Amino acid sequence: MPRADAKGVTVDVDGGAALAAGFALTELTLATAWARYHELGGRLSRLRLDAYLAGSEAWPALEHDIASHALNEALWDSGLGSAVPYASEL
Amino acid sequence: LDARAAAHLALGPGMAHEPVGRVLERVAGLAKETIPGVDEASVTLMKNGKPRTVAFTGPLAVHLDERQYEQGFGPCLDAAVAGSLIVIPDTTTETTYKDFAEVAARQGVTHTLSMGLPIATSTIGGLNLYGTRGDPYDDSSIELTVAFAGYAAIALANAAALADALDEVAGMRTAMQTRAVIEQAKGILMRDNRCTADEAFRMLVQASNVSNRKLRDIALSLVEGTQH
Repeated sequence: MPRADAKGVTVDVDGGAALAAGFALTELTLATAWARYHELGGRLSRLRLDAYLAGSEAWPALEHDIASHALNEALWDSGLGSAVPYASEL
Repeated sequence: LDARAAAHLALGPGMAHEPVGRVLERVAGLAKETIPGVDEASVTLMKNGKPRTVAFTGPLAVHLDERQYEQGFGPCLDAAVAGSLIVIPDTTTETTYKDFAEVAARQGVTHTLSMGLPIATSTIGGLNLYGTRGDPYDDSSIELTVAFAGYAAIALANAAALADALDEVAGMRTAMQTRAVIEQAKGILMRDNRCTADEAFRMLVQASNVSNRKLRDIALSLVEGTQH
């Protein structure tokens, strides 16, 4: 389940490693991965994506989900299924 | 007409806004017209170590170049990758590029010259010249080719940079449109389901995963469906 505080506002998740594992399965470059994430409404910068993938920061659950869905769609393009976990699956 | 002057005039500022393919054709055509002993020419543009776009003056050059790209080995590729000058004065006695020279000789090519197109710290591609009339390229032809390659490289680098920049701008424009559509779709879902923006996005994700359709397509259907 997504972790949430008392007011129901979602908090940060440590999903960088899971995202990095999924990214490795895609044929995307880091720049393209960020562009796909941004295209789906992602709000964080390219540098922050690098930091998240490297495991050096936590991300809001929603931003994680936007990035994981962008990577999952890239996996579909390679004939694979959704393999990158969403925040609720971490 | 001197090759240097011709290249300078033809590949100068006027070519700055031409598409990469046109610049490549221009370079190949000019090399054939202005360098003595050139019967056919080709130009290769490299990207990430692989030949990307190629222009030819005729079928002979097409045939010889494509063979090299299939094999991943040959004077044109080596010149393009290393930025070096590779001269084969006689295709019937060549030993380093034996396979290539034999095929070329069978096609009537007597001598070849391949020259990398140098930009600041690397090469952007290669220029390949094929002769069919026996006389190998002399020192002055080689010197002209080296000068010509310098001008051609600048013209090609400019055209390629412009093309990359235009691609990037087009990509950004598409991304902004997609983001706007997804925002609209979220707005519709929030209104219809009295939910938050985060919940609306997760509904889109779920719909995308269930149907195996891209999220942007789901969002677009939703927005278009509501507009009717």
